[in-house]
Amino acid sequence: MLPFILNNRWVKPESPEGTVLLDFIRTDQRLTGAKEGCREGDCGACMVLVGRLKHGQLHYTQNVSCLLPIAAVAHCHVVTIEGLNRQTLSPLQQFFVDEYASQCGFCTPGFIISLTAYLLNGTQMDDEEALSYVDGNLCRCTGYSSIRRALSKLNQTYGAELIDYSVPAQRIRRLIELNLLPDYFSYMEKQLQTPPRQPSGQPLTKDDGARTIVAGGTDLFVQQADDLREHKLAFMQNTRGIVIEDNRCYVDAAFNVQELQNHPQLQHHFPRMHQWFRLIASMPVRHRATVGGNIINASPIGDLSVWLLALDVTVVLQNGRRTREIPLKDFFVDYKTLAMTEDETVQLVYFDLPRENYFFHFEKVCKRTYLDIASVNGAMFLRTREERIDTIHLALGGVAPVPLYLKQTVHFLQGCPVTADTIHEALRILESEIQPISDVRGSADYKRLLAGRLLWAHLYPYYPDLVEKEVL
Amino acid sequence: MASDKIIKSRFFFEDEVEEKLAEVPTEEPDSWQADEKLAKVGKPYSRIDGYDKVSGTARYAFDMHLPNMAQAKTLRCPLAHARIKGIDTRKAEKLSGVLAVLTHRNTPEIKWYGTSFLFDTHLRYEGDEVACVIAETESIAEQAIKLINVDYEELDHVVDAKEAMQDSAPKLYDSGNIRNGEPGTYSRGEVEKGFAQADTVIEDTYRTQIAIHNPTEVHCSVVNWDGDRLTVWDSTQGIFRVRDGVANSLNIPLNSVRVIKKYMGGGFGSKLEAGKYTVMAALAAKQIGRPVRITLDRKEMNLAVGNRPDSVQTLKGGVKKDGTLTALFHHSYGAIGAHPSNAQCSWPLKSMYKCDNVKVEEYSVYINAGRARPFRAPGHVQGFFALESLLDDLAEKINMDPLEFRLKNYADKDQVYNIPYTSKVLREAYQKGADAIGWQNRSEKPGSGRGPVKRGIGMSSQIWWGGGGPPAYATLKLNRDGTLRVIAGTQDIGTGTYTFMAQVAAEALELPMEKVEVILGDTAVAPYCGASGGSTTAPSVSPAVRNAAENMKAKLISGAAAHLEVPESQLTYQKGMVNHKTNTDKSIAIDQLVREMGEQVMVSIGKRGANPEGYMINTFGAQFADVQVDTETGKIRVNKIVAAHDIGRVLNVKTLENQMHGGVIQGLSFALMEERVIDRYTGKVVTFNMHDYKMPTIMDMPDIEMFIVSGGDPKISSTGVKGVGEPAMIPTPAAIANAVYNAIGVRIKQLPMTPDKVLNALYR
Ligand SMILES: Cc1cc2nc3c(=O)[nH]c(=O)nc-3n(C[C@H](O)[C@H](O)[C@H](O)COP(=O)(O)OP(=O)(O)OC[C@H]3O[C@@H](n4cnc5c(N)ncnc54)[C@H](O)[C@@H]3O)c2cc1C
Ligand code: FES
Ligand code: FES
Repeated sequence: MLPFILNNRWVKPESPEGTVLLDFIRTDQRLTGAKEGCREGDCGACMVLVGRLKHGQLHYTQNVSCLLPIAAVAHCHVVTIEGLNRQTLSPLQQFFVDEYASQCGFCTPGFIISLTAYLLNGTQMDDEEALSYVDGNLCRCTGYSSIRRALSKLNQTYGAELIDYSVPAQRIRRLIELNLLPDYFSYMEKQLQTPPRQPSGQPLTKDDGARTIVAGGTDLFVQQADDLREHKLAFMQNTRGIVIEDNRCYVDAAFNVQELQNHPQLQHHFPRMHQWFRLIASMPVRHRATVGGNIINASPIGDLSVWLLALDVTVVLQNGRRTREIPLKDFFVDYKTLAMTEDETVQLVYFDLPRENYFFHFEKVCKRTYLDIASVNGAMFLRTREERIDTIHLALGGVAPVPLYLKQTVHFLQGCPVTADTIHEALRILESEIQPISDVRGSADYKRLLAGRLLWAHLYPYYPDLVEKEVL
Repeated sequence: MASDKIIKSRFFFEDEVEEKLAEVPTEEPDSWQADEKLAKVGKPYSRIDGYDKVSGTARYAFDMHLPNMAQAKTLRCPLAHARIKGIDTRKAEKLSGVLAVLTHRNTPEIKWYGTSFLFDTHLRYEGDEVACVIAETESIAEQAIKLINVDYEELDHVVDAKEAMQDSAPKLYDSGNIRNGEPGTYSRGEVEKGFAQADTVIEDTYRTQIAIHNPTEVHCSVVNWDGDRLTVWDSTQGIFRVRDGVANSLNIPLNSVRVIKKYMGGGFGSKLEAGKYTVMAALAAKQIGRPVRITLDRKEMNLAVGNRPDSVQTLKGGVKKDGTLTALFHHSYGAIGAHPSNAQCSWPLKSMYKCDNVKVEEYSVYINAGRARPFRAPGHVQGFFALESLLDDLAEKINMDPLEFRLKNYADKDQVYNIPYTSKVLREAYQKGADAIGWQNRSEKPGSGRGPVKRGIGMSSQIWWGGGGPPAYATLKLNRDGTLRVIAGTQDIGTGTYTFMAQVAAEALELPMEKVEVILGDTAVAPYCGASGGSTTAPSVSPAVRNAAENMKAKLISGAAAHLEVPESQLTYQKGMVNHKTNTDKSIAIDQLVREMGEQVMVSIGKRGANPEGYMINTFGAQFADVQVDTETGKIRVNKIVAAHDIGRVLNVKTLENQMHGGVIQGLSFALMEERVIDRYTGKVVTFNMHDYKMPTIMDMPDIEMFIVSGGDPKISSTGVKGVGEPAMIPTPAAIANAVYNAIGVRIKQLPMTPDKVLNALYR
């Protein structure tokens, strides 16, 4: 196994590469500050910071260590609560004490880690942003108001000045001066630059059949952490990132959801992207979850899949040196059945960036607003020309065995004017295209009802008068 | 020092009367008066264990590691109802690293749940214990579990209380599925006459779901034998209960078992007794001669360690035009799972409002599912949802403001025992709450708001026990350097016990907080206190600490009298000094006194005094909710909760707020999200992880405003404290439900009020 830095020293795990980091930390290293609450990414008790070199600069993100194979942190800097402790409490820790933000305390190290990630990365430094960093931390005791006060205090005390430090290394230095990070953070970047950088795992080749492909692991390790421990793993590497050429946007399959959310050009085209993506999982999970993983996961309510369907993306598959392309809307065949062979991997998805006169909208309805799986989700792309629908793509999740591209509804709407009659007729077609089933996320009836209402909800921001007249 | 006596003590613990002999002091310090000016008690001290928690150095049972420790995991029944025909553990035993496999075949027959066993061959729910594997590592234990071959005879199952009550239903016990074979009943006055007197009568049925405690720390123990003496580190709310349970099960003397709990990651009622897992680990540890750690995983937490029973409550209420309640009737049934427990939920209806004619009939029903356990205000949360929904509907029928309606039926004395309350400050709570939520701006016509997002305001009252009582003891040790150690056999389950115990001791002995240290949660060194449940810890234990401090003062005065050679009557105690009342030369600091005595420490013992005869002790409160309902998606958003309560004396505002806000959010969660779902056909739980069993995150938090309208209650005890853990949870779902009705004009009669229920209610 390749070494990594755990807090302030290099460690070279002897454990199999599929061992999850939380087990390595708690069992091998006997650091028990990171807690275990669920082993499935849902509670944040196991949160750690992972620092990675990117273009020579050290970037930290908060990750749930229960879904993170140790091979995925090779040559990284992993920080647990023990790695933040000094003789006296840091101001962040002290705010937690002063504002009684810790009750039984079991969740507390996780919150401190997530908020340290915020201190390292925050750009707005307001409460809303700070809150978004703890969207993956569950506390069963406090009722959260005390935690909210603690993070508010953090912002009031340090927010304004930290905004000015946007270069990671400078931010780190300032955080050390402010006693918000221990000294040793100052030489971690150097430390990580010294050992030769090698990709973790092995690059994919044909005889890698026996290996299990891991991208972010946020799906794989939820179900199978124990079985995967002894497996050979092959990691998908994000080598291409996002490339925009001739108005076409290519996204590496291993690009993670948080990076997608933060991408300036995409934000330019989809100004509400930030709001939508905050509804997907939690920030620590988004930091790991990849585009390819979401598609391959083929969950009928996969948020990203629905989002990408409405962009009508094309999937690029690879087998050895052979590549082929397939529209995403033809990719989902049946429940967890995909139009690809076992030897193929997803390399890229691409789509054309929309130009003027287009609307794009995403909706997700679930029991809990954040960090929940949708009951029904949906996305719509719409471009009009001379009052008529020039192009439309509609996708719905939670209403079929696959993330559903509404082919017939789309076919009908093409060329129609956006009027009440058109929409009512489209809804009738939509009804016939979906087959929701009852489960814990809602009854079939309810999902049917929602599916229809989502179409109105998509249109509402752009045709408020029409929608208000028809449904409200 | 005064001599002590032994009494029979009775008080409500969770929803049931607990009766115990208790040693109580004959003499007690004067109770602190309602508005007594105190220096430490009531002040917002931060938790004295704050450092441990924010630095992760706090060691939980889950974190315990002993040299040479082995790991245990449990094989649980995958079926809802089955009998073990055969079990083959040979493959598992052969797996390298496996140390032992326990099953019914190789362990003593240890009684459990009255008629069942530690390992029963009749498995009554998905999650029932089948075997326990002990191995070098957790992952080996888990692999070994998959290698155990069990031949199950699958039996018919029933997972719904209503179905289970039918004669044709599969039986969990030979005596039938209704616990005790009959309903619990209660009546006063004559309900039929009462309904006849009413101008308006409403009858309706309300349903609440099964909810799971899901504390963040799973249930777990680490056990170690030193010869015949067993030490257990347990994640528990009741160290003495665990000690007794384990000693009984293993048939060993009580003083051979030591139970330790320093920190624990939440319990909410699920950790009030000894778990099977602890006993399995102890058996295994004995067998292999090594310490054993046993932990449950999140799935086991959702199957096997307790839940709030569901309820189907049919309520009938009669009211006169002037708002007088003439009669109340409650019929309910609820599923208690596969083993004895209790689904009663009628206390709110019996005790909250003045009503002369009341009748109750309630069934606790066995089903093939995990057993119910007390869960933060058992019965009351369910009961208030139904009662307060009905009350709002009655008020609407007679055209009366809901708040006025409640004031009209304000109970001035306990309705069940017909005795006065020690104190009741509910009117003030109504007033404060109504002002803060803006009750006067509430729309009187439900559902009349414009636009797709509709707003509403609603309220609910609450009554709870929370008086605590003896037995509860505390020991104080005064060291040679004047520092003080408080020792008690209670536990801090996150509630702040460490901190308020220090405050009470520091108050009574007028010492700085830094001089006080608190040791809790160890049956070997600490005197007995009850389990931490029913909001009884602070009201039971704080007077014992004060009593111990007074006894310490008496000792110090006696010691100083001997040392200074003056009569005791001329000495007084002040701020760590014993002073002569008139001669300023004659005084001695307590640290010096301890040194003079040649002792390392000076010890005093304190006891909780008896509760006053002929009084009921209750907490009261009112909560108000401001919600908005998106009629497009059915989503409910709670904007604000105002909680105004009478909980006696506030010991510490900070820990109080934690309890109150924590209760509100759990109530909100019960109202909107949480629900254990079982598939009828397979009898299996489908919501067994946090993906599917939803609890609120920081994003779901409403604004919460809190008022405490009470001072200390000098009638209860020398500290005048009532409990705070449960009251804030109780009225939250009911207040939200009433606010939702106010917003949309359609009543949702079933919890949780998920978007699907809202949309269906609106459009179907
Ligand atoms: C707490 C939590 C919350 C979640 N919430 C949401 C949510 O709100 N919405 C949502 O849509 N999803 C959610 N998910 C599901 C999951 O995170 C996403 O589906 C995620 O995008 C999966 O990506 P990954 O890279 O982690 O996949 P992995 O786990 O790495 O892989 C998933 C599968 O795809 C295969 N695979 C991955 N990449 C490739 C590739 N390029 N080529 C071929 N095969 C590949 C893997 O072998 C594996 O079988 C949640 C998960 C968790 C743990
Ligand atoms: S243990 Fe819950 S998120 Fe990792
Ligand atoms: S303090 Fe107990 S879970 Fe947060």
